[in-house]
Amino acid sequence: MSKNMPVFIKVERYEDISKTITKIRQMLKDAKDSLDKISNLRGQEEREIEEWNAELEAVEERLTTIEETLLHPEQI
Amino acid sequence: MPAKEKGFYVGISNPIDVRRNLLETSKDIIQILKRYESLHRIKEEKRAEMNKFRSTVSEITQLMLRLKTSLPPVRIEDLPRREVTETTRKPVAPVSVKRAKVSQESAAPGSELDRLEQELGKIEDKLKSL
Repeated sequence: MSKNMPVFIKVERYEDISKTITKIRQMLKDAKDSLDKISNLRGQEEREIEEWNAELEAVEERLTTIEETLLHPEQI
Repeated sequence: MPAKEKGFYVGISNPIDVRRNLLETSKDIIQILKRYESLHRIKEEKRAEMNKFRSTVSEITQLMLRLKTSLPPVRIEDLPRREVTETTRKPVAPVSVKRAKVSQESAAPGSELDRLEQELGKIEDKLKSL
């Protein structure tokens, strides 16, 4: 089995590479920000759906009361 | 002409409550519609953010490629290696071979996913040869 040894490479466009790495770092930060926003929006979406469900249930309950009042008054 | 339905009278002991219930149901229904609009807006916003994320990742890929081409092309096999004795050898965690296999199986060109799988397979092969 062999292990790698240190090597020296000639970097001709050092400035370019440095700039590219900085840009990649910035883009990664942007990607992280985007993901945070997406996660946030997904949370909002889930909360909205939960609220939606609660409202539908409330409507269902009210409708049951109205139905009982109008159609089965003897049960009240 | 169809026969007219006979009227039926129902006594309502709490008419105000019934009226209130009806109005509140209408209010809830409008609230539900409003929520639909809100949800639609959130979905649109999420879609836009997803697109932005995708373009950012694609730009990162381009920049990584540029970085790779900025460095001198060196074949891994050409690098000098040092012999390691049995005592210094460390256990190596198994590399996930599964993905590489998948990339070979789904070699049909065209799909973006296939292309990415192939790229992953190549990178994993390189990592294994290190």
